Amino acid sequence: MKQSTLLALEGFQTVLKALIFIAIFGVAISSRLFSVIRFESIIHEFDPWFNFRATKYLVSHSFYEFLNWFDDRTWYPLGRVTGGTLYPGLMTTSGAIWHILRKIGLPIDIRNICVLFAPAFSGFTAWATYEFTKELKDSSAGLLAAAFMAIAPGYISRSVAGSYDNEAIAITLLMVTFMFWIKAQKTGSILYSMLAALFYFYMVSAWGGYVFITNLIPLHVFILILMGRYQSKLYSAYTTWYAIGTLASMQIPFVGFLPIRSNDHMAALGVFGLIQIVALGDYIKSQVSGERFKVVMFISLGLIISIGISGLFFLTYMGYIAPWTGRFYSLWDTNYAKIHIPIIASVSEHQPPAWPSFFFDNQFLIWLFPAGVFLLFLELKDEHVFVLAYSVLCSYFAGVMIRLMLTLTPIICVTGAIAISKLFDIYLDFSVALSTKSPKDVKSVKLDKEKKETSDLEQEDDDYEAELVVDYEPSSKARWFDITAKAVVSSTFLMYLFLFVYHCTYVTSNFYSSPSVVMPSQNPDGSVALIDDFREAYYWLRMNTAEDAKVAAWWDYGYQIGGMADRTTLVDNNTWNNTHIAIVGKAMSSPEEKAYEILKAHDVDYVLVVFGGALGYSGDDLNKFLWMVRISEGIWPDEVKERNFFTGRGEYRVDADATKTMKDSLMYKLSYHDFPSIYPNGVGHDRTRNQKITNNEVGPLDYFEEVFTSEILLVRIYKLKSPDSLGRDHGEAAKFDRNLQSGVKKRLVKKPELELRV
Amino acid sequence: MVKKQGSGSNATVSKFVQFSESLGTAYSSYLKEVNGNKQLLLIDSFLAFLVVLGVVQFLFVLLIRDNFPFNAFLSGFIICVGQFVLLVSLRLQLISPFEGISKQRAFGEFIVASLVLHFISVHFVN
Amino acid sequence: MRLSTVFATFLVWYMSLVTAISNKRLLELSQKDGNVIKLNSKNYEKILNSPRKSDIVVFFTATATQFSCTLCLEMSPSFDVVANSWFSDHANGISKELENHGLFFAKSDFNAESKQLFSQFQLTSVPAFLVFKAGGKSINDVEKITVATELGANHLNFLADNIKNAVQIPDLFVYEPINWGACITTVVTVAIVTFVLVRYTSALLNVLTLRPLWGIACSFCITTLIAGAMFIKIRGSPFSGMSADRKSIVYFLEGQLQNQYAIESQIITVLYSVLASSFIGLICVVPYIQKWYQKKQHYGKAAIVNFSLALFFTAVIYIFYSALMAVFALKNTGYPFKLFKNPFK
Repeated sequence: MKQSTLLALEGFQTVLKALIFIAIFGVAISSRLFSVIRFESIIHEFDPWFNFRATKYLVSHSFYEFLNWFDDRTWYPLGRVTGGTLYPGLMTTSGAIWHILRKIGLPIDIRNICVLFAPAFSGFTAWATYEFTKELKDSSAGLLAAAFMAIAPGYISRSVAGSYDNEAIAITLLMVTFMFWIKAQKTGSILYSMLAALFYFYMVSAWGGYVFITNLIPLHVFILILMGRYQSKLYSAYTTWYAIGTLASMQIPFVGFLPIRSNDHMAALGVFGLIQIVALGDYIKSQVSGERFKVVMFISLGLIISIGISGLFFLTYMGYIAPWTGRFYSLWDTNYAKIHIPIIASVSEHQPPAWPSFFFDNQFLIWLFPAGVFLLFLELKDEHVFVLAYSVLCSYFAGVMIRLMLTLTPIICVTGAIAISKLFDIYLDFSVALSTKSPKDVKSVKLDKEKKETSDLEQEDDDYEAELVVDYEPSSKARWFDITAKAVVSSTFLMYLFLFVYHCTYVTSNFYSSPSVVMPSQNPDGSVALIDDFREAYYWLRMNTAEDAKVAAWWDYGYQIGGMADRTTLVDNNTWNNTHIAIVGKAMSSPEEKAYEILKAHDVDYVLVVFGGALGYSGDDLNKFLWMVRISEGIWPDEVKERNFFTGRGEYRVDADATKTMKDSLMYKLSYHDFPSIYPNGVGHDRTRNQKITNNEVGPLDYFEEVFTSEILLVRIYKLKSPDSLGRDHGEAAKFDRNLQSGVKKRLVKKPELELRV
Repeated sequence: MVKKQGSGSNATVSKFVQFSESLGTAYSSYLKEVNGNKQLLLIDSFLAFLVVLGVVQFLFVLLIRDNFPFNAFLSGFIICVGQFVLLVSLRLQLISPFEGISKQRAFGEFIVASLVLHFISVHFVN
Repeated sequence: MRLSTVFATFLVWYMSLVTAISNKRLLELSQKDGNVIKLNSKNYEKILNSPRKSDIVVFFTATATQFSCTLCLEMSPSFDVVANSWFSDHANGISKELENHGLFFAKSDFNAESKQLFSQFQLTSVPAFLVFKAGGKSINDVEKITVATELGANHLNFLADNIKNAVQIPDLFVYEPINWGACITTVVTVAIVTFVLVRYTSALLNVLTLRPLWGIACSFCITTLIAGAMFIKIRGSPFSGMSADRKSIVYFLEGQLQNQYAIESQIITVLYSVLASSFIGLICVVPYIQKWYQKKQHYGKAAIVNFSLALFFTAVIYIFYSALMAVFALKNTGYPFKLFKNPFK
């Protein structure tokens, strides 16, 4: 082929690549905008509300004030050192974008920046995946990987517009860090290593899951050393990354001295030490004969490994190094959380996923994943070892905790792309079948191109990959067979790719785009009705209560109350103080008088419960009630017993069969207060639990008064009654009133025994 | 019996003799390599200085039995380690350059990385 | 007058003596079959309704296959372990700390003979554990141990703790029996493995460094993990379900995206493995065989073999992928995509 044709082809390729990238960015952003288009630009779920509140604080105060922020409107009465207990990366990025846009004359409201943050960064994730895969195979695999990453539901689930959570930026930074790491490991360049370390620092500032990177990169290096593939460029890459990365990661207040003090990070330190020894050994090996070297190696290795491991155990035993933190330990010992930390066990994101979740999030990439892994094993270059370690490790973690499916999705996209790219390399290659030139020319061009691209290492592995050697003129029949076979295979897989896109769009649109603050439902005539009870209730709180009013609710709603109602809460989604949560749980599961005392002691003014019985909403507080009981039973086993809430037959019932403890509990009374009276014959139908509630079951509410119930009874707010004007106990006072009404004349005070006055 | 024991101890003794001999050979060839090359001499003396500096800092903390403020100590110690590691990487590249990276580029990258390391360290010292 | 009252009192006392069940009698009944008394409708009145000096823990179970009560079958050995531990400590069943106060264990399996017993206690779900305290005034004065359904595998601890709480006998200790079978098997296996390792080291090394072997091992590991192996291990899912009329096995837990049977994982592992292998066949095997034929200069054959193999693998992938989508549609009701219409529906 002529030189000019080659140049023209290359130019055409570049244009095509640019167009494909624009399309990928467009797809990534637009497929995440379903909820913004259907509802409005609103922050979703629970956690993002806290991040939003923190970002608002950041843009209205200076950065220094943000880092030193003590929040007295959460975890009342303890307060929270927010500046030192959050990962500031997300908020600082949003704040920086807000400032920059204002400077260039585009003042965008901070809420819109936060809502559209994740879709914007998803495009960058796709680009980073492209670069990452390009290092592993070539740019065509890279483009496929970028396309998959842009629409894979596993990633979309945490990065839709409105999902303003740490993962929005964390996955982008994860892929960028890995991309730089692979580049560094391939070339040994200090620059790439330093960039990997700097983006690692950015990642540490953004997400608690950075520990994954901290352990994966040392694991990669360790496996390479074990395989005997140590080279000086590996030393250069890893040590630069470790030194700069660790020092940088300690700048985040939340991380502090953890990289030196905690077992989670010891693997990186261990490999750092090991690679110094290996480098020294490599140096000595170059100076000394092979036989002698073996002796040196054995003695020194034995000494060092034993010293290292015993030192680690000693330091952990003496308490200088903390053992594995509970959250990460529960990944290995899967029963640990259930027994020791029930709060972690109760979070729905921490449950193990069943197999449909994997298919749901990845569709056909899930069976390409093992195929891609196997194909990488056949090549097994140094960078492929990284992908393999990542795949195996992450498959295990994703199998244990559904939240970690997010970290598995990138590598599934990458390996799937590599697999399909290899397939298309073979089956889209019509050059042989269509060649009209003499076979010798075809062969020489192919070999030239290959020599430019492959390195020496690849030539060795040709045993495993067959190459078509053309040294004959194919007959027309052979041509026909060849073309048909390739066409059939290629078109089938093209169809699978189309199906993948349809599946991803279907999943994104129907399952991952709900704001969960606003819920859609259907009117009797079929039109869409929006259930906006949450916001109705929060705004009632915001407008109708004192600014320093304290609200007690289960921890799920803490962030939303803080964000939308702007009121002080007792517990929220980040409370790790188990006892504090147990206090609220105990208040909810105790009878009225006790609950009143507990809440009064904490200065609570309002209690908020979520009741889904009128609507059929299954995420309401009565369904979570058992967890409240369990958590408080963990602290006060004598006062709260889970057994007492189950009927004699072991069922959890809320109708006439419910136990007395259940009917007396505060949660029951608050949920069902006045509920049966809405129904025509006084028999309420709880649609969530499918049971009938009458007025006989619901006891009178003496210590609390109802101040607000939302439209479909979803959110109910009660106020603690202020102390009685006559100094009576509320229960007694109410009983007196009831007796008076029902005409029961009962002398409360006995007539004194007076002697006859004579 | 005695003969076997003797041959056994002979074997281990000879292994250790081999070990020390290997180390000796390595050291002498190292001296030869360094003496001819000014750059390597400079780097190696800087490396030795960093090791001494790190050890001194560590001993100081052990002697006065107080490591407050810990971040300052860590910053000082880690910059010694980090700079040591960067120097060793540079040295490896000077002896046998990595493919695709010329010696000048290696030096340039080293400078940039050292600057970044110092910047972070100064921030950490507080 | 007085004589009749004396006679009546004497009669009552005599009857109570006779009808009370002594510790010795309970011990005899226990020893009849393995430390656990077998209860049915005929003998339960005598054992449970008469005043006695010992506590009795009764295990109500239904082991017949038509009930598919997997939890009953799983808890039965744990119950036996508790009983055996108690009797190994106290051969006569009587506590050493409490005077004359013993503890005995009974079991009742649901069948025609014991139906009345189950309805007497209004048992609607099994397994159930009822504790009859000593000196029981009435047969209905009983304490029930609640069995939560999502126990996982830790039945022994659960049973031990709950029985201890219920009977309040301080010297009830539960020993987990040493699994001699497992011990011996492990020792023998280790011995064989070490022997083979030492004898055939070089040959083994050659095999172990085969890359495709590692590849297959890794891929298989990953396939089992993504087919839900950890879910089964953590949640202890039942192996499979029974249809409503209890006549056939249900392989898939329909309509539930977050729950599965153990057998589903195995089916899915097979599906994924076949799909992945066919895919690798398309990439590695087809060109390899074509190259082989071309080396032998059978060009015509090469083309035909290439064509048929490629089509074969594609067909296999298509069939199994449509099966996978169909199975997924079973789990996720309302899934609109499918690769072929079921001709048998």
